[in-house]
Amino acid sequence: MELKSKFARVMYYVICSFVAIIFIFPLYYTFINSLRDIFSLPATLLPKGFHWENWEMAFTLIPFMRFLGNSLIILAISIPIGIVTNFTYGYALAKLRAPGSDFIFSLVLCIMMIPTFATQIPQYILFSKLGITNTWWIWVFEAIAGTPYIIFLCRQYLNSIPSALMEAATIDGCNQWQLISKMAIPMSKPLVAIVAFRLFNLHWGDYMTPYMYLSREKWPLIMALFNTSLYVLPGTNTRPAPVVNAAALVLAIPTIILFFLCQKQLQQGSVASGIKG
Amino acid sequence: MKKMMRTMLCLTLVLTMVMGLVGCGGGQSAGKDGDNDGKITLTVTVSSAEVGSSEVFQRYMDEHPNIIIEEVPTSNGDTKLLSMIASGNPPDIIRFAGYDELPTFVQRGILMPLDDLLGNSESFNEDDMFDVLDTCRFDGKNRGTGSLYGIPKDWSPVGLWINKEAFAEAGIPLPSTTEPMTWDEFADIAQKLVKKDGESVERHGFITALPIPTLLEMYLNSYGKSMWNEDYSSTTLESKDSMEAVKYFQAMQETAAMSSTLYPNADGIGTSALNENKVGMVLGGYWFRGSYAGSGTLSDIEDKLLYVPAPVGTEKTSYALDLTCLGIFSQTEHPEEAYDLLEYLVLEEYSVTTRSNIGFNLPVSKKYMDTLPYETDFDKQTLDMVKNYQLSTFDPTAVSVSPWISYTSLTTLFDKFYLPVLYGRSTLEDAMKTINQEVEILVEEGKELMGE
Amino acid sequence: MIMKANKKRKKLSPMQRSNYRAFYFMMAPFLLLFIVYRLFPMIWGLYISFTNYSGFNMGSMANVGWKNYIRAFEDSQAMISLGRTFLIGIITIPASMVICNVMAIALSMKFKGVGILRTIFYIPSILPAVAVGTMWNGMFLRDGGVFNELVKLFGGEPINWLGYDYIFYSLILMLLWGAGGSVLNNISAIKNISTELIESARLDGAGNWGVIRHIILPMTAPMNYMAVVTGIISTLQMFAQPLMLSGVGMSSVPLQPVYTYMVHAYQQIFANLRFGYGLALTWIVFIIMMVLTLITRRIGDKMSDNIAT
Repeated sequence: MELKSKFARVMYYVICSFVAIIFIFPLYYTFINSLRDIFSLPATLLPKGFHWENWEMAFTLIPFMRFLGNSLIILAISIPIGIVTNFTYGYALAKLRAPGSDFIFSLVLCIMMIPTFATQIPQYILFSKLGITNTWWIWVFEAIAGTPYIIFLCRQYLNSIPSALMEAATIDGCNQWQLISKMAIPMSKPLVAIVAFRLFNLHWGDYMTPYMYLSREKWPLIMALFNTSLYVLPGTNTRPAPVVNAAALVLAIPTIILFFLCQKQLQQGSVASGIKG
Repeated sequence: MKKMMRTMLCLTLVLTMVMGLVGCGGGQSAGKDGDNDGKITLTVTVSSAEVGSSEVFQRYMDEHPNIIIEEVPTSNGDTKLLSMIASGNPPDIIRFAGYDELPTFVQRGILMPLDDLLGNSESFNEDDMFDVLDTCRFDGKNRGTGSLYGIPKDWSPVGLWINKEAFAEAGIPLPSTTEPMTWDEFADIAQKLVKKDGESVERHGFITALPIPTLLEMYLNSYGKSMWNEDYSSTTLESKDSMEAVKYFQAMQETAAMSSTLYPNADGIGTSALNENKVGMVLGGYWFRGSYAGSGTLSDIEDKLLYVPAPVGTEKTSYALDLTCLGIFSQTEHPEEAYDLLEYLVLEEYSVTTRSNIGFNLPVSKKYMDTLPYETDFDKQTLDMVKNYQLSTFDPTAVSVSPWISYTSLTTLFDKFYLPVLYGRSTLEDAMKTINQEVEILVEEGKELMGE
Repeated sequence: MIMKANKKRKKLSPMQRSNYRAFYFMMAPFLLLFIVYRLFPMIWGLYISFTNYSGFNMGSMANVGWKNYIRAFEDSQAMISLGRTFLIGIITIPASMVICNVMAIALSMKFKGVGILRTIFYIPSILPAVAVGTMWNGMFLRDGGVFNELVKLFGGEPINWLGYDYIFYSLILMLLWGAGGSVLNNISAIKNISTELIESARLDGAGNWGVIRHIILPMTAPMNYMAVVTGIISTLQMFAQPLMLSGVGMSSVPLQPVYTYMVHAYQQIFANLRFGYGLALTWIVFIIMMVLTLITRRIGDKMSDNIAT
């Protein structure tokens, strides 16, 4: 879509910029308030001093490198496996209607509807009996089990590829794997990017699973923000707000950068693919 | 398109490599009982920050090569501890709040009595320990008698931190450091310290991290009363005395003399607020100074601070209401090893001094009192107040809580039914009646479950 | 359409048979793990909801029949909080749908700097939830918060945004700020619409509005349907946001106006240790969600049928 008139274009920029300012404001606000004096109040709108030592503390008050390493392990397990499984499940549910597929799709929806804390304790007991608490196996299982929301996303996305195209290909003699590799995947590059990004997001920001199953030794970075026993001043119970603000940004930055890079790919992908195939 | 695939391939490769590297490094230190040829894994729910530093744990492991400490920090009343217990995979050393969690934990059979273990110990010398130890004694109903279920990690009675600047501005003479003020005097001062500009509060009278039920009990007890009935099966909230106590705090919250959701202060603990002259007084323990000391900013603020006795009613008593204690899980497989570690954390010189050097709370053992900072005038003033007033008036058994309901449920009942009163959405009488009813239901359920 | 016709025939075509085989083959790991990893905890939870389990009495647990379920309907706190949760959903779901679609259309245009804009609009939904709550709590502060600074700028008296009277609106505002979460899906669905389709519509004389109404909205309908379903689910499950906004910890409760149903259920389980009752509460909301989702799905299926034909 394009806007033809100059006026519309100017309006577009004005409105977008205005909304953009609103949307980015909390981030700016957090940044400014990560730089204020450690025990100062109130929070400020304009910078009051630049106390970069808060940022330094965001890296030194916790074993930063170890936690980062743990985060990367979780991502390295979850993303590759998760892309394959979620895409496969989504494809099967969208394009291969078999008896029971509706039932299975309802199951996926059901899983989404169960509040996590309702199954927390039985799940803990199960993992503990399997002897996999405090191991990375939990993330392997999770990845294979698929993420309901992402399966749902994949199914919806693949549903919007016209079935007629696929059927034509089948008549041309393509088998199932050729259909996936020659049609579904090339037409869903943006989807793969989205799934990868979502999985990154999900596991980068997930504090509940690591908290429930891992000991401090194996905690990922997000736990530093969530668990109040971290980012406290040595030997005390105090968590200074500016340091926590800085930490929140440290955690947000990789996500923002990744999104920025990922969405460029996304654009390229959509230019190259499209319905014309 | 190819570019994208290539990028993703690279990313995956890099991630896998990192995984391999970190995985190898991390693999050696992890593992469960028996995995590491005869090594014993002790799971502790206290965090390394709380015991001083991760060095404290590391040192113990160096000295005891057969022990692996697994740190699983949990916070008060949360899901992880419950899950660990339910799965039969509980921690060995449990961190708990001495004042409000101990009775319930004992009643539910979570904590192991330490009496047998103490007998074999050389470093446990009761004569050398502060009375605060009695907070952890419980006989199923009363505090202070019966078995010992834990040892405070460190402790301090509740005192009052004075913002000298605010007092000077409001033209109020500084309170005595040896004699406590009464609750009425306290309320009066708190009201005078409030600074408002129209509807915006520039300075609150006082801030405390203690929840309302704890404050109520402290207030009532200093008049020789309690919010609990004889056998802790019901509250006295509907009585005239309790009602007056609630009104006392309600009046302060309504005028911003005390911070609440009605007139909130940006800082719940008071460290920043006091630094910025946004609060006149902070009701809290000796640990309060530790926050400044821990960040190296104590020297900037110590001239503004004065530590005085907490307000009292008719009885001069000091209370320790925010104690963090360590106990042993009743079904641990390694009680002796767990006890040895517990003793190391609370009584061993190295771990005690790691905390006391900064000036964060008092050690449980009297012999380490001289490791607390005592150099500057400020150090001397604060510690002298503790020694001269608080230690002589301290009573570990003065206050207790019902063993049949979790303290979290009590505080949330106040959040649910008392807070609307502040906004005029409910009357105090109704609120107290509802809270009392709910407490009675919870107590009944608790008794039933514990087979009474 | 072809599928439906095939179903009526008794004999399976070879293509269908291979489809079926592929389907079950692909779904096998899902089903296997579903049983072990999801079904077991679910059934356990269902069982617990009929007992007096309190977290510590595994050995002496007793069956109490429907008591927990009956109690839920007698508990005024539960029913009021359920109504409140519905109200939040009725406001936020349609509002975020509008925001999302407008944003998606605006951001799928080709303009200089649209990439940066897209990143900015998406930021709210990618920030770790813990961080978001902290930020908004800071912005809503009575003294020194951004909103009150603005109010003061226009000469008003400061408002207690997190107090009894306003916290509901503050929560809505925070939720709408994070509404951009599914905008990414909509953008990629719009991008997938062939340019030829739009061009031919334009040749037929359709303006921008026409293109949006007749091409973009129908083509993004599956994504919107998904956003509604996830919106319903996440609203009914809402639990962390009110707590974080109020700035109270996990072991406390937010003020009444934002005391949601799930907060109530969580309270019953982890503060009052009424596991049976708490789980009964979650099963009730589970059933409500199922019904709502089925209704939405009916509508959604009709819509996608319309597109297909």
